[in-house]
Amino acid sequence: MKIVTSWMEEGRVEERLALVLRLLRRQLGDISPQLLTQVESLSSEQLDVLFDAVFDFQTETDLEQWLESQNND
Amino acid sequence: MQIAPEDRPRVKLECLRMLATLQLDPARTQLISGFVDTYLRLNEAEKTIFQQDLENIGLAQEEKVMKIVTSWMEEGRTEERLANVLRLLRRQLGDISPQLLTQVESLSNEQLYILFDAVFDFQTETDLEQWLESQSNN
Repeated sequence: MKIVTSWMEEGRVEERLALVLRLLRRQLGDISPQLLTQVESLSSEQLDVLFDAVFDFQTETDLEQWLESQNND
Repeated sequence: MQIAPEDRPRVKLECLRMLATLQLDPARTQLISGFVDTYLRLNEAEKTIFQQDLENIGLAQEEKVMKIVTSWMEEGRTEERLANVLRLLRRQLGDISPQLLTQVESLSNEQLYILFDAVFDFQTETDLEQWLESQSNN
């Protein structure tokens, strides 16, 4: 039997955010504080999508556009 | 058991506080706290109250309760880290052999973190194999 607690889910989301930020830094270098705040406010599901999308980003503008497309959904 | 909605955060904290003072072994503490969390799942507003109450029970007790919560969070972090390392590996190398998969699954949290960065240099499964060997030699 496996219990999945709310604390585990919190840990998962924290880790997912940390890893996505690590991928972003790898791909784009340091990102602006404004974009950082926007990424930090994404939902767990959006972070999951971003994890794969990062690999197509060339510049910060790509991230900006991706974030905009999320707001429109 | 009937709990008034407004008491939920307090009941949860009280259960965890009592559990912490019992000083059971980690596995039992984990099991019981897991049940407490499952039966008293808090919404965001309740979580805020829980957090405020937690900060007011005294430092020693707060630390004991936090230790229970943190160990669960840590488990979640490790699961997520493994899942995402496997995701990167699949992206980079395609499906990996069951043997290599088992080896990756048995890595420590810290090793997974190093692998997360190392994956990008891998061209073939052999690179992963060699990386895993270098880890077991350390």
